Amino acid sequence: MGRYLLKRTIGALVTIVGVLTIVFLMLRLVPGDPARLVAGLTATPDEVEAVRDRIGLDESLVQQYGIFIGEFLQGDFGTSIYSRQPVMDDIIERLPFTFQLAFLTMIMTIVLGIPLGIIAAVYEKTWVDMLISVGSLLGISLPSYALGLLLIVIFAVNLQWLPAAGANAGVKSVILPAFTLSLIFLAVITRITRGAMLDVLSQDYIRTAQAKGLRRRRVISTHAFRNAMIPVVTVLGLQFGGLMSGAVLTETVFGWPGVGLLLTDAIFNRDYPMVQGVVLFIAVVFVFANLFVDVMYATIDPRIRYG
Amino acid sequence: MQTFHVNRRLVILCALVIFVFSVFVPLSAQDDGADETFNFAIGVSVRDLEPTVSTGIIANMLDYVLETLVVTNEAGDILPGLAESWEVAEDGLSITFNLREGVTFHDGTPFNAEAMAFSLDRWQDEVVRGRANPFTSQLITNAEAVDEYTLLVETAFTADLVLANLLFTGYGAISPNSINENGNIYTPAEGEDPGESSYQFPVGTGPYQFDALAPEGMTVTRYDDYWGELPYYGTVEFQFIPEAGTRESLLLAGQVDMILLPPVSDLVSLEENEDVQVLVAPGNRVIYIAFNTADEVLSDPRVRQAINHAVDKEAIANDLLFGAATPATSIVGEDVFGYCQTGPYEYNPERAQELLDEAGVSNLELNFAAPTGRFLQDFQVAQAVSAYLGAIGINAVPTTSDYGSYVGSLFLPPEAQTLDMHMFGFAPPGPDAALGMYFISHNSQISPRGLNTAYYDNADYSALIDEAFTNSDSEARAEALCDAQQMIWDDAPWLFLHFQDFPIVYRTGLEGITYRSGEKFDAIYARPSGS
Repeated sequence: MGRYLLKRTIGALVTIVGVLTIVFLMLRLVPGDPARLVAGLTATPDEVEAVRDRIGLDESLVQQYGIFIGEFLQGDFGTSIYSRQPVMDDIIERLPFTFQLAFLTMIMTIVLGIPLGIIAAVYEKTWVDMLISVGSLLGISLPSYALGLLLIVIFAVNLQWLPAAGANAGVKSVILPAFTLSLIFLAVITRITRGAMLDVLSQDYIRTAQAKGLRRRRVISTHAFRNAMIPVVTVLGLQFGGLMSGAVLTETVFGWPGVGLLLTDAIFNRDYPMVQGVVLFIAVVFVFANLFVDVMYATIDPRIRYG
Repeated sequence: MQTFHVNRRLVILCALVIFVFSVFVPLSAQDDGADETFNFAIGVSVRDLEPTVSTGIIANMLDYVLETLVVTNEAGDILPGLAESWEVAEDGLSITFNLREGVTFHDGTPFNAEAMAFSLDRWQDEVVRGRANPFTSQLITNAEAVDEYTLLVETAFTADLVLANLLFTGYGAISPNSINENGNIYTPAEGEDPGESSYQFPVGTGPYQFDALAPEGMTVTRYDDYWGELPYYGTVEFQFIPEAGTRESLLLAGQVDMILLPPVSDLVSLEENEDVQVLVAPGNRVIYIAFNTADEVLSDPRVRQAINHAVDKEAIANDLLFGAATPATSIVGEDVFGYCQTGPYEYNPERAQELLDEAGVSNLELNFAAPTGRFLQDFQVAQAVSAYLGAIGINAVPTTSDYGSYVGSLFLPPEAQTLDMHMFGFAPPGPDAALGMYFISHNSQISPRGLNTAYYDNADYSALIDEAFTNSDSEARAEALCDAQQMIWDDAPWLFLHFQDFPIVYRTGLEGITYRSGEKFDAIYARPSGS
């Protein structure tokens, strides 16, 4: 287990450096001049040059990359070109918002998605199954942008149950964004649960359990459920990483001041260090969520052992 | 064990009581404006409050906290602010301000000529200046206190122009004692050390004092020792909501009192909605499509005039911008000093065709680019223009890219420029025609040096603007500016489109909400009707 963890951690670091390299290159290879944007459209060439010098864009690409990776290894994620605050400070300031959103989304996804998936499997090929399948297809097909606005109109404008946007109404504020975000993942979780349950329900030991006279409810909840959860937990773990990036659009629609909104602003402003910082953050969450899932396997399924 | 049960019930009861009180008590305590909050949703996420680099809506928010020597109104007039009056020297290069007495900063520091000079001199400080707009930072060469309430300001350009610039929030008075307080940092440059300046906790003299900036918004609270009329609301909360549709929903749900810039396509339905009031403030941001005048075909003014005649700007303003725009009648807006009506170019496709024939141009293909989401309905307007041009046989299909790349593609020397025409918008930094024209059309500003991206190189025209920068006689300035406007209108280095309005929407039942020249809202004195 120890060796396995070490191997996976090194692999994770390599992945993160790879992500950073790609982001670094992508930001610098697209046309456009951040120094001009920072200095202002009416700035003189000297001014633009001074800004270029300040933010280190006058160095060669290779030198910039060297400096960038060097600072990264020292735990320095740079300073925002715009706010001039350390990138990490801004991210940490917004972390509670994003985690709050992610946490509630995850709970909604699990609480709604798994039972729905089980129901769909149990009532396979009935109208219940059809309804759930079509519903989850809708959830996954609707862009969170449209879905978010739709939910705002229904729940905030017409019914007036919840705040439309912003973050100044406590927990109430996070319900709509979390629900919007969870609908995307809900679809995935429901379908995976349904598939896994159907798989398990056709196994011999289920038939045995039923044959020995166990009640159907008990067969499903104890015998089938636990075994069907392995692929579900995998996908949940993967989704957690996706949640971080999926939050980008949702946070923008709802004006939810998390890391996703920070990223949108940074991209529009060409705030290189900020974009790098946020992408790095998302990559770290993604990679470690995966790692965590792999480790969790062993707990759920005692047959899995890592050597 | 019995006592344990009683205690547990007691604890639950207490918790319930606390919960109920925490939910309902704040709601019932609202008797007068001091306890009320004005909620206001805006479209930008603010992370930097340094006044000298503030722009647009951020500067507008800072106007609650900081005050300037002069202020403006809806018509763009220059009116007394922290200065009660002023005299301009004969040569127009210095202004003596008589300051208002009895004004205090929010930290208790008295406002006087010393404090004002300090705030203006900040622009000359290398540490601060590194970030400020270079043009703005060279306007004032010296500011000094003559006596307690008399301030002498020496300027690089003529007083008219400087006064128009002094409206900018970045010239507001900040407390000299605040630059190292409340997290503000100021260390002067010394030798190799470049020094540091971060002014994020503004302390001014305005009717509201800065309270907090958070990821979700900014809060200001009423300053009860304010020298002028006290505003109604005790607290103003600006919420940062980037999505226009969401801002609109917040207002319709009654969760904010006012929003800026709703989706323009909803303006009509908002105007019909009795629950909200729409205030479409005229803006002076000119939206235009610059021609590459260095191009062989487009160097012929007849071709450029033809395109101006080919496009129906009325229809674009009414149908595509839902009335939230005014077709251009000059290169600058009507409310700036020196405006002179020079247009419009009549919508006349036959005339356009004639001009093209005269120029001997047919089957013209033009590379056309426009931004998306930067200006109201920008790409939609570009597509309409493309259709109008198609009608006179010009093929110009617009392309778009993100704003960063887009701006990058404009700041190129003529020989590297592959675009034939591109859309842009510009708002002058103050209500003076010279400021509207200089940056985008003076020959010293030809791209990549500046924003004259049409490569419009006209020495006579530039000389007229230079005169407006230096001549101390207002009438002579106005005359020079009028001549220049006529000249560029006839030369048509741009397709002149429209001036973009600035829609403000607020809930019915409020009064005291207005706007000021230059895309600014004025809601400081907002109050419930009849209070």
